[in-house]
Amino acid sequence: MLKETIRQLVSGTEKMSMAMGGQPQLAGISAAEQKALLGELNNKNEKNSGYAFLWN
Amino acid sequence: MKDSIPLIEQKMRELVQQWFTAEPLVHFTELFIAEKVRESLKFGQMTIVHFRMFGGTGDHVHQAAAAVELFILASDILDDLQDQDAPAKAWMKAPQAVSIHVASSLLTLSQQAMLDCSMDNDIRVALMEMMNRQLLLAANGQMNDIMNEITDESTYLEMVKQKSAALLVFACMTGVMLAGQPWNQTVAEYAIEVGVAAQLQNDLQDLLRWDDKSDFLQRKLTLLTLYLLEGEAEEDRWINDYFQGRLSLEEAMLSRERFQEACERTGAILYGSVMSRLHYNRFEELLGTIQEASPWKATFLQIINEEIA
Repeated sequence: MLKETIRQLVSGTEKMSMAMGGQPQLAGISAAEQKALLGELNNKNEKNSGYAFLWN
Repeated sequence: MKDSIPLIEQKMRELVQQWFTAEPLVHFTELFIAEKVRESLKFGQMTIVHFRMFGGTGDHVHQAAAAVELFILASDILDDLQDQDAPAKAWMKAPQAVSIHVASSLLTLSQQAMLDCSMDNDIRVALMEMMNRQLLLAANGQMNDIMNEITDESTYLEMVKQKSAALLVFACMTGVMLAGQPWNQTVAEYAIEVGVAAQLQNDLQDLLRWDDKSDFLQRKLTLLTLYLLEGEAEEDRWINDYFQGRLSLEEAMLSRERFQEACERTGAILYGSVMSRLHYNRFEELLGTIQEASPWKATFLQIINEEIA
């Protein structure tokens, strides 16, 4: 379901803007998925990777 | 925790001097250890932090950390030999027979080092049993990765749990058990979560690069290439064609910008980032439930998040 939500989000500029503004249409995904998605969208919005997790 | 790196390195070298008597074996192993130290010794540091976290005292933990890192080095060498995609590494520049031999010798050396790191027989047996169980799990996962026959997301994540996460469980649990504690299920679970998160970060990097390590050019099935292949847009049909062999490598090589645009447009990059963060968040959540972790949390997170060379 997370996958479908992301496909829907990227398919429309309006949906993505709403999500990045903190008003996402996130029905059907778990609270943990929602937290992760909003965390990543927030990073994208701020062009800032606070989540600097790197491992090779 | 960074001050433990020279101690782990020193112990790795001492073990080589103690058990390897053939001069070329010593020479090449030391060369490979030097390369490994330049990259990172995160697994060994995790062993030490878990040892301290669970009440362990004493310097013998450096030998256990060295045993862990000797295994990780062997596993890195074998992985690069299998993938043939890291020509700059010291073990890829050495004759292949030599690198195979050093790697297989290191596997045994790591076992010997682990066996000798405690005088307590109960701890030794528990450690060895755990070590072998985790390494066999990793061996199964690595084989499935080599075969590249993943069919869906859950199979992929299961393979990652075996291939990558089992080694993190091994590193963390070595510290826990050397401190005299039994297997800790929460530690095992958060080590798996951080292992999956790390692998997904690697997958993101390998999706976008355009060289021998490119997952796309190598037609490697990962969570992210599976996501792309499941896409239904007509304009991205060529990606499926390439994976099915209907498009050649030479033709695909010309489409770098088109591929990167597809990764962005379809949400493949966002999906990978979100999935990685999902597992990382779960790791942090589990870590927060361990009371012993509290004073060590910042150190542990620093090891994990530190960028490596």
